[in-house]
Amino acid sequence: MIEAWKRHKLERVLAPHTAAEGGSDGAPGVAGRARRAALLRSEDLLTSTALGALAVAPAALSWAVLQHGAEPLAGAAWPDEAPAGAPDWEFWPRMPPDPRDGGEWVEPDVVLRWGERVIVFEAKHHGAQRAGQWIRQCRAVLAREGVAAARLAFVSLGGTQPAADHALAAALRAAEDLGDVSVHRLEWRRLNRALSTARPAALDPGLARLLDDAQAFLDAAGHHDRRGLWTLPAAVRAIGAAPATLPRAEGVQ
Amino acid sequence: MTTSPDDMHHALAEVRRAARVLAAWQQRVNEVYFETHRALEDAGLAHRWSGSNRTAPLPKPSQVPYAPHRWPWDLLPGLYLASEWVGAGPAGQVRVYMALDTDTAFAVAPQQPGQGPDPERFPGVDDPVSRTELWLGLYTVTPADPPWAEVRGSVLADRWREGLERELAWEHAGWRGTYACRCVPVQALVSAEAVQARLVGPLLSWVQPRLA
Repeated sequence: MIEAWKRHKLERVLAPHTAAEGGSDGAPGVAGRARRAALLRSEDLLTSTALGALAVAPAALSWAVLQHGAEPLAGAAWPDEAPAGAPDWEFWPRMPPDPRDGGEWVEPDVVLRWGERVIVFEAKHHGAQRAGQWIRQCRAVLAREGVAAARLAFVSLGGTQPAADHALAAALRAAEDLGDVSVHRLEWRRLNRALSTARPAALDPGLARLLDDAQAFLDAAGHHDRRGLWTLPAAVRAIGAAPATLPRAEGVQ
Repeated sequence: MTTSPDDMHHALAEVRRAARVLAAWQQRVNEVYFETHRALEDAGLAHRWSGSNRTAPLPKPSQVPYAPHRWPWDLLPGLYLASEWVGAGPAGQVRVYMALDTDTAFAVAPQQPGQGPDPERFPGVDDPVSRTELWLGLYTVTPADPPWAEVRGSVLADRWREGLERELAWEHAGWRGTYACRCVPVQALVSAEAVQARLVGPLLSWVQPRLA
């Protein structure tokens, strides 16, 4: 979230809400609830909270989370081993479009440079992914980074549509110069799950807190496994057993 | 027969609890169906239909639904849900049927005349015949799109359990194909990884080669 603040992303979310935030009893008022809902709908906050946590986590852990969460759509699979060198995460870099694409500047959500590899993340929360946007981003990143397409991985982060994702990936790889790009899908829910499953048992408390916070935000935004089948025992316990004896019903003789 | 207000009070508390447990169960059933649906759609199958096998549709709002002859189970359709997905592979149509049987004792409980199994005479919930199971029916068919209810009835007649052990070849009125089935014990689905390992993964490993 700090990345969103640093890059003036928060204003876009907060500007429409100028009314008093709290009610007279201290509980969030209508404007406060609307503002909170707007924050949770923001793909920029979600991106910076989740991937921002990975940006400061140890490299091996970040790679393990991405590897656990990413699913292949087309091209080479996600490598088992992290590339050599330190990862360099860049949020919302702006870059000129490839001359073939023209139009406005391009702004992928995240560009991750890691050794010889470059990984582009395009995030969607409530919107759908679009092949045209993927193509513009990949061409612009290739031009800027000067790497071969085979070194470029594209990650569709959220906004997945099972029936369409493979077609989008195929469209990307059918574009001129992009045939060797590997395309992956990373659902928010899988990312949240991977933040648990890839986490080592012993973790620095500060880092654990950071990952917990990222997961709490993903949970709040609805990307959670709270209702997986395996949570049924906890739900049944929470509902509680009917007591063996009950106080007499009020108003009944 | 009369009862005491205390007994009624207690029985109604049980009903309220049962309704809450059933809602919590259905929430989670929705999740597992959705995850399976996404995986199958991703593999290239399309959802064909979903419904309940043991209940009739609710009547139109203008009809009185509470007649004594009405199955009480009709108002609990989530107890036996089924869905089917269909795709086209090089060797013919690929069909996946998934059914969730919340209580297998339904099939063996004594019947009440005209009202289905009598809930008061079910075997105990800890009886071996009372289990919660997910069933997967895995079919290939050629040529595509036969009158499926008729064909499936013929394929399954008396032999459906054989599909647990091996893939059966079948033929009916000019259509032919294969059939196998899997039974996933729901108590084994104890984590997201277990759902993948016991349900989604095996399903995809059957589907994907047949669509390739």
